Amino acid sequence: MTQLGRNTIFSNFLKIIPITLLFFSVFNEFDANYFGIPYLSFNFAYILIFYCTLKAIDYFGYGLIFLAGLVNDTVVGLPLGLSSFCYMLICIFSSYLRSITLRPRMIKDWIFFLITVSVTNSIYYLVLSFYFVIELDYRFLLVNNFTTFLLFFFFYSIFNIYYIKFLGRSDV
Amino acid sequence: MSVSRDDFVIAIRSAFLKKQTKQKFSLLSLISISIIIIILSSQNFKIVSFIKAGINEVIYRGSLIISFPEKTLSQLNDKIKYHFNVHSRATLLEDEITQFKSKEVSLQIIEFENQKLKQQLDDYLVSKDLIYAKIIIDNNSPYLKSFIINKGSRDGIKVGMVVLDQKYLVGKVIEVNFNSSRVLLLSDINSNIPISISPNNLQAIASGTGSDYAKVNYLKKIHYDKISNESLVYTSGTGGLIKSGIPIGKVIDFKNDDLNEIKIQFFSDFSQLQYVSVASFDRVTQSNDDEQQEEGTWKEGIMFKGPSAVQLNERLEALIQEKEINDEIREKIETENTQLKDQLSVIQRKLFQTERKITEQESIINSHNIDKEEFEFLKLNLEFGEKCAKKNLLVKGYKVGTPEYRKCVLRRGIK
Repeated sequence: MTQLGRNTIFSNFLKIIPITLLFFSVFNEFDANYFGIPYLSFNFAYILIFYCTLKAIDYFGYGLIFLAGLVNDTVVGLPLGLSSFCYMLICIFSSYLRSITLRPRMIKDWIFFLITVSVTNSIYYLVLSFYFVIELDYRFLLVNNFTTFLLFFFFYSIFNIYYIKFLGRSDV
Repeated sequence: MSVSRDDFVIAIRSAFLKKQTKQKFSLLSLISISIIIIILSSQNFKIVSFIKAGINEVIYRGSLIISFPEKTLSQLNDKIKYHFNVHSRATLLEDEITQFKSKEVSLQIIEFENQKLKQQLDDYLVSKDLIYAKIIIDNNSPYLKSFIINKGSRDGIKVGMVVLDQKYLVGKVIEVNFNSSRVLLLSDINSNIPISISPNNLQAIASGTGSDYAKVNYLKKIHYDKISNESLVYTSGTGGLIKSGIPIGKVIDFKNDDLNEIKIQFFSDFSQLQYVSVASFDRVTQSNDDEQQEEGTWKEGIMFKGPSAVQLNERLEALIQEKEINDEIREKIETENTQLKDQLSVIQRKLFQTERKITEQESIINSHNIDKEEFEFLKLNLEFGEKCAKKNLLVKGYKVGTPEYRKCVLRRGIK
């Protein structure tokens, strides 16, 4: 019984890791540009949200994603609600993809992710430039878009391994 | 992924409206909320600003705690790098200190004169009390270049106040909460600061680029030939919000070419900032001082004409400061004078020795020339001696050994 209890706690701990990671990344404004290379950055939150909502991961609710968006806006200094809106857009795309997919394939998810991120970043740029009149270097966004797309493949594989090996899920 | 029109509509409806398993909110409702928040945050409602400031406070503190491990690692890395470079840096710094010390005295005088002149022009801005602040969040975002400081409206921070790193301009405050504020860096793409470029005092605007440098805008190309690499850039004070003369950076990689933009490298390294000072500036007008002087002060029921005790103290302090500077200069000049005298005596001694050597060498050269002439004469004598010597009364000649005989031999030798 004690063993079972411990297993449940450990299993729950493993399950909350993705949402913890999301909040950790938004609080830290994690853009992975520690090397100081100009323009190089990627949006880890987009990858995590897309993957987790696509695979209907436990404890990764829309409400928490919305909250993470608000935190991100505050930390980065963006108008409040913008990141939440972008995160919700990603959720819509991933939810749509899940609805129309019978047999999941990594390449399809990957290509669809490119469309998702491109649309989301375009809306992000348009809202900032035309509604809030905040100047933004679009080259940053383009490189960020492309790098995020490329790294999705890598993170997708890691998350798959994590869920299959640690949480024993076969449907990811 | 090929779907019919109906399937597409169903899938879209499902994505927007249907709450998935274990989801408590539908995406449509959350999107609506986020749009409402976006619209509200763009409006300047007092209640919205108040709530926003509260949220900012909580999240900044949370971010400070959560980013602690990352920040510690980053600082550790910097410390290790610093440790390895400490010796070479110390040598360079020692040289720099020697140079700066000599410049400091003259700079103090110039500064003092500058203050006086600006006061006369009614354009002198003095900084009120500086507010020192610690940077609590600096994540070096690729999009927006800003950081959060641990001082807010409670400490007297206001939007638009200037942020300095020692004496260098770093940015300005754009958002104020109760206990924290956001500072927009000069490198941000939305930052525009009026500047002067020395030495020709060219007026322009420094705009951020999103990278670690700024560029010069609104400067006509006819002035480009007046700019060179290392030209200093400082605030011009246009607009009256920022005091003039705050150093910003210097021009780098400049080629007098129409295609190239003028880059400004900041004096301050924004990635290494830990503490900053926040300042606002008040205008000091000469007329106000004069009025105060004319009015005089009341003390123990007696009206004292002329400047007040505070003003006199200020003047006295300024005069003492000036005297100290003058004394320092005098001492420096005296020391230099003594050194120069010593150098002069050494040089004179050397000169005397050199002149003596030259005289000796000239005499040697002269004797060598005499020997050479004698040798030439003897050589010619062997050849033409018989023709010049007097042998009998019939033949014209000279007695051997006489100057005439010598002249004759030499003349024949020249022929």
